[in-house]
Amino acid sequence: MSHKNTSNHDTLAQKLDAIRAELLPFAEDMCSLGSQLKQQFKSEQFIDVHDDTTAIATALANLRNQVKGLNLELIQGASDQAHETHISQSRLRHDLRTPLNAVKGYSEMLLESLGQHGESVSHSLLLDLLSKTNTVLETISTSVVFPELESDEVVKTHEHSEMSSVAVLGKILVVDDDKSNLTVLSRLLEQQGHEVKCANSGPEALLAIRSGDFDLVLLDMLMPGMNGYEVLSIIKNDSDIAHLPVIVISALDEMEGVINCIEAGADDYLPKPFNPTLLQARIGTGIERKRLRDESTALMERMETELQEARRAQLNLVPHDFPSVSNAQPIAVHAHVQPAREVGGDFYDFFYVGENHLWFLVADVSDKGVAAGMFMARASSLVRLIPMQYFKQFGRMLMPHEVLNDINNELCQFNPEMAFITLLSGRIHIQTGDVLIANAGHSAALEYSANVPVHSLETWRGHPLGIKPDSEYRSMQTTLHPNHGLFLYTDGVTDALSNEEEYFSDDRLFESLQRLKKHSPALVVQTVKEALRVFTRDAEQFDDITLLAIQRTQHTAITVKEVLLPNTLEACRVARQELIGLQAAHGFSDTVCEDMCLCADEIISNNANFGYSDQREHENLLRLSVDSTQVVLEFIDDGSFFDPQSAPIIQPQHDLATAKAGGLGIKFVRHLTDELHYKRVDGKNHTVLVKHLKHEA
Amino acid sequence: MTKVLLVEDNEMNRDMLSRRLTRKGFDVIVAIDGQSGIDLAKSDQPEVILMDMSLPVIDGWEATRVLKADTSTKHIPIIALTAHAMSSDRDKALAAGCDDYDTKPVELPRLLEKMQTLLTAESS
Repeated sequence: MSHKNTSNHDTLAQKLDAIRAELLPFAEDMCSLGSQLKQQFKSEQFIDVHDDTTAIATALANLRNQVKGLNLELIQGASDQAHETHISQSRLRHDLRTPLNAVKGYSEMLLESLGQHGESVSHSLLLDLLSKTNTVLETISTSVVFPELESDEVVKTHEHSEMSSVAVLGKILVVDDDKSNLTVLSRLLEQQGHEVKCANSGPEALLAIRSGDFDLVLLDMLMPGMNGYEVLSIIKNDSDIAHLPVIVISALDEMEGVINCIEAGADDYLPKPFNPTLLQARIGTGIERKRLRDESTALMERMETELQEARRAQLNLVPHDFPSVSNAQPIAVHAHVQPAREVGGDFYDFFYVGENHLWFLVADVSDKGVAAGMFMARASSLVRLIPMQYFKQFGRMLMPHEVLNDINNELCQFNPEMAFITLLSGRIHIQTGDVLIANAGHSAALEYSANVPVHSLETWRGHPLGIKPDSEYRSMQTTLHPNHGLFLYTDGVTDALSNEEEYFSDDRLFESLQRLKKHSPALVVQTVKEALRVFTRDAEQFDDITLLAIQRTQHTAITVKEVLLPNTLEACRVARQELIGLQAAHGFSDTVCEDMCLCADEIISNNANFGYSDQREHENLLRLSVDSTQVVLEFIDDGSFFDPQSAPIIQPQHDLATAKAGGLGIKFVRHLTDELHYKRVDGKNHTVLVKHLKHEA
Repeated sequence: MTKVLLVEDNEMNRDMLSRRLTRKGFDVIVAIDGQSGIDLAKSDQPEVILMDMSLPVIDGWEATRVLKADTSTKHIPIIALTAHAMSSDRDKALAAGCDDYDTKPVELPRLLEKMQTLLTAESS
């Protein structure tokens, strides 16, 4: 809109204000005359003309409403062009004179009827009313003259511009039991460009609404059978169609009913008889409202879809393939995460670093929803990448607390929202069951088995991640024995509320685990999930829920390797190499590896130095075995009889050249091994060295 | 009795004027919009038509043009009635083929006089 047109608009608004100020006192005065007249005729018991006084009162109320509404609908309908100012003037005169026509006509008719009754109160009231009608008509003629406004262009053909200015079109259902009203309204609306369907009764209207996609309903209030109010109530109480805007049509003396309808959910009302401008404006508003409602519904649906996609994407961030158990992988894992909203802040993970270390963790981001989900995504990739990258690049298996240190410092760097994560992370050696666990502000893990009561594995508890740089974390060491399991969870489990507002609590969790007879992780997770479901029933889930169970399965010792050894000291190097390879594969401690290497050195050097009297090469055998509990070295050689168990301990001598077999080295062997076995079979020494792993500190 | 067709969309004004004309001895038939006005004029052949100009669907000007273009109805005199009371309306009504013009509110004696003039002219 140009500046010039804005000022035209303002001028018109001022003019209308002036007209309203001039006419309103007359309109009010005449309304009160109309009411008096109605009362008077009632008291004089002119039953047959009572309807006419009602018509006069209604027409006067209509006039007053027209005057009051001058600056609203008319200005909205009026435009910025001068030629439409002409139309506004013409239409305004029409709208004001139409009720006056009724007032004048009915009044004159009543006067004729009263003729024979001579002077009466009614008579003088009618004369007064007619005189005021004439005054108002004169005022309209002199005052409803709009100034010719400046214009950029003047459009000549303007007859239809009143109707063609409809911008918002839609599909409208008109409901009225009166056929002629239906015809007038539907033709009027069709002319304005709307698509119109008609219904003669409430039930017919409801049928049409449920089967068609209407933008708006025009509903008459007074209908036989089901009335407008009843139809409206049914529409507004049916969620499928409650969004449909309803405009109630009513005569002016039905205002009480109109108020009821507005309270019952009607969007607007239209007084009868219809004013085309008002009709157009209100229908436009109603359809616009429906369009906005539809848009917001579509927006909600789109956001819902996006959230569901985010949920899928997030659930894909955690592994769902749970490894099958074998001798090579004797650790079973199962887990479950259940976000309270579409997107959650909880997560779990498990992954191998190298061949023998299974890392596992459960974490809980502060708060829930999308923001928490983003933070979770960032943390979940760090928690996996850090130990993997260290191992890949530096060959170093990090301790869990070292990983926590790194994640914490990283998360502290970009964290304006002050989000934080509690996390319990551990790694287990899949053959030995050695576990290291570090805790950043999380609930402790629970250990369960058939033999001992469920108990929590208390760990040193550091700050949650993301709060304070350089926070301290520590790894706690323990061993998971065969058939024992660990259960990790987030506080969404213990804080789950029942309908009675009771917490699920540690007690119920312990109890659920204690009752189990079998302990496969899948069963453990399923059992706790089910216990939670039974406990909470249909209560709303407030927090994300995450469960992870890990169990070490029983297995037999595995023969890992047999190697041939020469009967020279070179065999020491070979044995040592094999042991280091074994350690890399099975992850027993450096102490175990070093002890076994020393023992092997002793057995081999004893054989090489003292086992043979000939100068030939001999081939001996070393069998290396390992299981979760022990490392076993078995030497089979064809050297002379030598039983390390019974050989005397000989004090070191100054001259090593004269030293005998056995000696101080054998003392080492006896001391460093947990078991030492010997037998002579078929002219060969069978020497077995066993180192237990479960006592490893 | 003289048959008058009153084409008027406003319910109260239709009721009021039809009753007043009935009292004056006319046989009044009514139509509520331009299209039904045209239909009734053709089927009932009134002797005079009182046509409101701001009608829904087909307005009074258009209805008048149609009636005056149709051989079965072009002889029926039409008096335009409008509440707009703009000086240009009279010219427009006459240009559309109306035989006379009056404003609303209706001055009944004046309207009756105009009707009488037209009826006399037609019958002579």
